[in-house]
Amino acid sequence: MSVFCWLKLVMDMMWCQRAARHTSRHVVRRVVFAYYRGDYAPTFGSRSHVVRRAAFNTAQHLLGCKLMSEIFTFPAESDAERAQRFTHDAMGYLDQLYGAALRMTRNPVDAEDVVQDTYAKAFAAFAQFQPGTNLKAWLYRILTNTFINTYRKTQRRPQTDSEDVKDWQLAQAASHDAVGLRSAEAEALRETPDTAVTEALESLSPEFREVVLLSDVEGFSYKEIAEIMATPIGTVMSRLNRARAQLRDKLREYAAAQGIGLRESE
Amino acid sequence: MSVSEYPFDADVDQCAHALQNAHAFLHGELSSEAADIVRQHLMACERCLDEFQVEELINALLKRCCSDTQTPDALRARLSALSVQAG
Repeated sequence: MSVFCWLKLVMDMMWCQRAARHTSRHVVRRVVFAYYRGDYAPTFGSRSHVVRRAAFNTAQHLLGCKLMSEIFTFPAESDAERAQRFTHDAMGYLDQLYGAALRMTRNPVDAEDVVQDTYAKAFAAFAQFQPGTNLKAWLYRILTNTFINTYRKTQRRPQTDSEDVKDWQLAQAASHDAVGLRSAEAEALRETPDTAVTEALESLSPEFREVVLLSDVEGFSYKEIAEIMATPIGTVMSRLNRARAQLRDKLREYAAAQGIGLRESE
Repeated sequence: MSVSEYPFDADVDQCAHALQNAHAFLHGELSSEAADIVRQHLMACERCLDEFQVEELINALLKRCCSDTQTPDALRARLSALSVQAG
C-alpha cells in the first residue's frame, strides 16, 4: 500500500469516526480495515456515496449489527442526483446503442423504439446498477433483452434456425474448397461493397447477427458478450463460429453472383 | 495432444484446431499458449493462413461498414427529457 493509500485510509477512518459517534473507535477501525482489505483502489477527492455504502455493507456484514443503520447514517442518493448521474454516465453511449439497435432491427423507427425502451428501463433500474462495474455492457444487456423479448415477438420474418449445424459440417465447409480459390476469395472481399456486407449481416438470425455485431463491431470481449447475451462463453464462441461461417457463405454467394474476384482463378 | 500414427492425421488435427479457433485467435481471446500453437501452425500451413486472412478481411469489412451512426436529434432530446422529468 502506498503512502497515499494510507493517508486516504486515515482520512476515511476519521470520517467514519465522525459518522459513528455512538460506536467505539475499535469498531470503526475494524470496519475500515476490513473494507480496505477488499480491492478498493482509493482516489483523492470526496468520499463518494459508493464508498460509504460499501463501508457500511462491510460493517453490517462484519458485526451483524442490525442497529448499524442507526449508527451510520449515510445520506442516500436523491432521485435528482441519480438522474444527473444517469445522464452523465449513460447518455455517452447513446450513439453506440442507437447504432447497435439500428443494426439489430434494421429500420430507424424500430431502432428508436428499442433505444427509448432501453433507456427507460435502464433509468428505472439505475439504482440497482453497481457503480464501478461495466456500464456499457449493462446497457447492451438491457438493449439485447429489449430487442429479443419485446421487439422480436412482433417481427414478421420467420426464424431461420441454424443452431443445429454440426461442428464437423463447419470444419468441412471450411476445408473442402480448392486451394486455388482462396486468394480469389480475399480478392473478391476487397471488391465487396459495404451494402453487400450489410445485407449479408441482415440475413442472419437475430442471435447470430447480435454476436457478430457485439464482437466485431462493438469490440466486446467474449466474457462481456456472454454476460450481455446471458449465455455461457462456449455458446458465444460456437454461435460466433457459425454466424461467421454463414456470413462468409453469403459473401461468397454475392461474389459469385456478381462475378467479382474470379479473374485470377479463371 | 495425442500422437497420431499417421503424420497426415496430425496435420489435419492441427488444421482443425487452427480453424476452429480462428475467431478466438483473431479477437485475441485465446490464452497465450493456445495462440502460440495456432501461430506456429500458421507459419507452416499456407492454407490456414489464407483462411485466417479471409476472416480478418471480413472483420475489417464489418468494422468499416457498421461504424458511423448518428443518433437522431429528436430521440436524443426525448431521452434527455426522460431523466430530467423523473429527476
